[in-house]
Amino acid sequence: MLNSLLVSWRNVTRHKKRFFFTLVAIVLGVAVMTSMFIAKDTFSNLMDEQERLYAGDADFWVQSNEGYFAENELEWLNKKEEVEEGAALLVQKGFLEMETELPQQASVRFTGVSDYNNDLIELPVKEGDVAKEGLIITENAAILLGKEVGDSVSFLNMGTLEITAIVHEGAMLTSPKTLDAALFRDFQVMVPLDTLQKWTDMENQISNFRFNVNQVTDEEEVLKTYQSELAGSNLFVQPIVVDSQQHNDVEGVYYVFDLIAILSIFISAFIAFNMVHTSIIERKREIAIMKSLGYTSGNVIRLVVREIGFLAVIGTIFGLGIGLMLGIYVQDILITAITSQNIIYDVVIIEPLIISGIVGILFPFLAAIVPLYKAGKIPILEAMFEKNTTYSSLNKLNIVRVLLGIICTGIGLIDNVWAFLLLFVGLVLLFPLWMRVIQNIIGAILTFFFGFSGKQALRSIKQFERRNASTAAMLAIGVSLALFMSAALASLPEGMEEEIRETFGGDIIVEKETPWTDSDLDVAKGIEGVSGVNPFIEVPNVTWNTKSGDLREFSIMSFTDLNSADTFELVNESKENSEFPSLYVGERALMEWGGSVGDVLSLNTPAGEQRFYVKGSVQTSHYSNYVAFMEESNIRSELNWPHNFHLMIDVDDEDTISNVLFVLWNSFGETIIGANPITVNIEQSTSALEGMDELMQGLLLLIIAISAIGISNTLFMNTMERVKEIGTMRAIGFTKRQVQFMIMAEGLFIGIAGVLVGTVYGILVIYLNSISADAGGLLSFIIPWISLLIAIAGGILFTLLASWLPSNSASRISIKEAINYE
Amino acid sequence: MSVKHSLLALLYEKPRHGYELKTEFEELVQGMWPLNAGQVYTTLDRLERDLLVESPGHDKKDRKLYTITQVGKEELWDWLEKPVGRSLFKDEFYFKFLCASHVSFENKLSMIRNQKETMLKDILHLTQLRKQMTLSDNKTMKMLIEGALLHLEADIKWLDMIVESN
Amino acid sequence: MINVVGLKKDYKTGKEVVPILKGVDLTIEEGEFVCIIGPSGSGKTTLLHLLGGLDTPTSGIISLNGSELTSKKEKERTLIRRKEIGLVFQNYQLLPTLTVYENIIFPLHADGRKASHEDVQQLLEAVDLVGYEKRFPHELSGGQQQRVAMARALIHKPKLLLADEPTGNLDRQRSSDILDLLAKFHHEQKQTIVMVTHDMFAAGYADRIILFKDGVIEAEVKREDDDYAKFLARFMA
Repeated sequence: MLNSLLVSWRNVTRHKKRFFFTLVAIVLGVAVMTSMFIAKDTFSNLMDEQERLYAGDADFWVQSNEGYFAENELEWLNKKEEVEEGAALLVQKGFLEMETELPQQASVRFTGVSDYNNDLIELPVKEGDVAKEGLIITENAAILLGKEVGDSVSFLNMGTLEITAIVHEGAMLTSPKTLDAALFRDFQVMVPLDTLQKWTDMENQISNFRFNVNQVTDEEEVLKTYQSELAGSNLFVQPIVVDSQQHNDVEGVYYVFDLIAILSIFISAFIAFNMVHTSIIERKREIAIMKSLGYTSGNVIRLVVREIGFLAVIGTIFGLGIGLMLGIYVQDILITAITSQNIIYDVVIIEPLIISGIVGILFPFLAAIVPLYKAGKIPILEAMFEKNTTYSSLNKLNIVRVLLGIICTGIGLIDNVWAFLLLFVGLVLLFPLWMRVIQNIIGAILTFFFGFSGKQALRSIKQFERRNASTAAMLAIGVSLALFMSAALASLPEGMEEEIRETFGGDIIVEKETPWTDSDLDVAKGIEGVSGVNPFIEVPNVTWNTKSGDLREFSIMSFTDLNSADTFELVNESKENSEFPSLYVGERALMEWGGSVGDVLSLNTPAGEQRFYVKGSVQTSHYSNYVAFMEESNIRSELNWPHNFHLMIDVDDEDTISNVLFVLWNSFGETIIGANPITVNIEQSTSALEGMDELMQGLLLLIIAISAIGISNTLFMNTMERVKEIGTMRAIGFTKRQVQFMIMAEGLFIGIAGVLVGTVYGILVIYLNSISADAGGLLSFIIPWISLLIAIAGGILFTLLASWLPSNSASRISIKEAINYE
Repeated sequence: MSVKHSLLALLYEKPRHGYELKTEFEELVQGMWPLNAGQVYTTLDRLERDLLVESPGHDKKDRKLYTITQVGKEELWDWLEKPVGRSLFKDEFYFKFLCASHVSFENKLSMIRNQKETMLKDILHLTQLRKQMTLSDNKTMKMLIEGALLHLEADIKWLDMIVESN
Repeated sequence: MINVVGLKKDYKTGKEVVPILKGVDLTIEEGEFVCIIGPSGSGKTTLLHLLGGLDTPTSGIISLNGSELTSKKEKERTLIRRKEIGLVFQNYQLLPTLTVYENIIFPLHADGRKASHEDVQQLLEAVDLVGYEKRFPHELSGGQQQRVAMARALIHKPKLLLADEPTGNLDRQRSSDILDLLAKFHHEQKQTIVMVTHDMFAAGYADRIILFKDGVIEAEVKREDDDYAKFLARFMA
């Protein structure tokens, strides 16, 4: 019996090398995509997990605008039936008993917890028992201090406690890994609430109270009820929200990952398209015969679909396997680059694998739609009796294609992310034109180096112009994006630094547990090098609903005068006014919310639920632009937030910052929650990017490598279709070496064309981004010389490697067989 | 020609009488060589005279039977083994063509055309015959026909050659 | 069996329209073995393609067994071809990735039918290819390939066999074999055969010979007619 699968398998493996290379391209494409999805999902899962751990099982928390409040103020809450479990927390500062160069290196942030045995606080246990009352420290602290479970730790002027558990770094507790890092970060530890209250003379005082309500209760109802219960008091209730966006602007990273995934799959798809297309053109006659024997178009399409199915399934299976490994590796690099401490995380596999699997199986079919359609439409007679099926390509540029290319390029120049993609569509469409141009320029060089072989190579370049052009176009896209990424990575830190400097609003932000009093301010003002102090308000944990109904959280920062506000830049402002207080919202938050300037936004504030008029959108470096600003007087009058816990300090000279910090810690050390100098801010924002530099370059080299496989494949096809011609050349005196040179020259030409055009487009893209208003001036026009060199060298090196195999097999074409080849 | 030898060949098989020899001969050549009874009997007489055949007597219907003698057998072997040369003028058309050229015969072209037509007729006839031989699985005749067809093919080419060179 | 009325076919080459068939009327009886001869470019192959439904005429009608072929869509024509027509071509047109066996059963496969092993075996014996079932076409000689093609054209027991110069690429001996096969099959199965050829030796196998010239039927002659050879000579000269 005629086994259709067997026949399809025979067809698809007829040209073994072509099959192999196409398969490799699909495997790599799927692998890169899978790894990107794994990295992305794992990372986003990690973020959510961290938040979830922080929130624990708690639904709400009660805080005070004073910072602390008495436990008994919540007695009414404990009587409520719907409240299932509650935990009181007290956050306090202290110091380790430890010799350090600077006092802040030993600073500890205590979290006192009323009940260790609850579900509201989850800790990732490493050793010991977290339910046992005692001291809980993190892994980093344990290593840095050289302590184990059962050891005791002493705190300055407080007391000593035995370590009952060591946990992994997490949202609830983290500690610096080194003493250098300890300069700006506290050791976070957990202790029993009553112990902490005793140590800090805060009897009966707590910072917040977390609780959850039973399943049957409507949470919105509870919030409303409790808000009205607490109205007019210093206390306020908020839902606990999982929203990491104020701390990480990871969308940019996700965007890059998506871009790389799309790009790799795009290039693979193109290679698959190339193969299927060529294979169908080659088999025109066979297909026509089948039709003459009774195959309908449907039968033909099914036949080819089975063939693609083999490619898709095998490629995807291997691709997923390799992608899994690559993903775990990429993920590891990413976490190390972005988070500065060891965090345990679960690699998210299932969903990325499913998505990649589906895409991997589908995209070869999508790539083959046009060839499939063509296959079905092959006319019997022409195909069966046509003498030259492969030499039909015209040597004329397709005018429609060029025109379309120019139009796409034109649209691509418009300042918009999506229009941007059209620039690359234009690149592909215009590539034959660029090939012509380059032929004229480097044709002479190629001829000079390879002699007659070079000349011959140029001719065959023309012969398969469309395929060669598309192959080179893929390389060009890879190269230009590599350049753009490098430029972006090189200039983003610069852009970020610039932005931080423009919108930080001073030099050091100091947050204290207690409000800044006038005398405090005098002390601060008196520190040598300090040129000015400005207390400001930051209302934390303001929650709201996005238009699609998800709970989100951000902070509201104060400003005194819109015209002189230096913590943000106004992007858009409504001319209208409203009865509601005006709010200026950071663009990222605005986008997340889904509304726009001029709309009314409802927020859960310390004063309960309130409505605000979004007067303007702003750009700021604070909280990665996921924040809102309000006039100070408005905050005081509307938000039930009377105190300034934050202070902005200006210094004469950035060099004096460390001195100022030293004095600050000495003066207010016990109450300082954090001191955040602009310099550290800049360093932290930019170092993550720099850590990703190598990762990106590696991935982009991978994309260039996939493009190179495309070159191999194309050359294999070109030679396959010219077996007879090459055989004749050999017969009339071309040496093997000359044939080899000829194919290498072809490959080299494709490579050079790809690299050249890629470089030009890369620089164009960098330039367009530098003048783009959309990119917010984050990118400046720089040419990344090193990456340029890597891209050029890598492109040409990979091309040479990619050309070597086909050239070798071409030179081995047997004269006799070639001449008899049909 | 060799009616003589073909009769010897038929008698080699088994003793036969005169009329039987006539029908067997015609079957052998698929009826393409009609032989009259007189010719058979004169040939048999000559064979008997030359001691190549002899008569063992008459059959029940009183027909004279013939058998092949040892000399007859030897004669048959000799004939079969002797190769056949090809004389240039054995083909009558060759000779006709020669003579026509000699007398500057004006209708040479139509002469050729007529010859060709005859040959084509022969081809069609032979191919049809070949078809029949195929269906009746007569391999010997098929080979003969094949040979004749090859000759005809060559002759037609030759005729075309003459026409073209004129 | 076959009825052709006013069949015309034009080909467009650039702006020029070249008429290939200029109006052909033809009737072929069931079981008839018809040979179409004529110089190259006379339109004989085009007629054969139209009969096989491989192409559509510019105008005119072809009926097969009373049903009109020309008005049908490609798919329907394919379905008819699948069931009723066997095709043999000059250059064999075997499928290179299929074995001899698979090539032979392809028409059945296309029709979604299973091949009976005996049928295939019988055909293989008839075309003298027993033992070659697993070979691929490129491992066979021209004559063997054409025999595979013959078997393939007959596996589905078509009522009509169309042969386009089936002996065109073969030498005398091999073409004789093929013609013998054709004669044998015709004798045994009585299918209608239309063969296009310019080979006189092939033409001799037919019951009727049709001479094509410049896109029209110039003349036709039956085996029993007297002017058979004269007619052929005119064409040959």
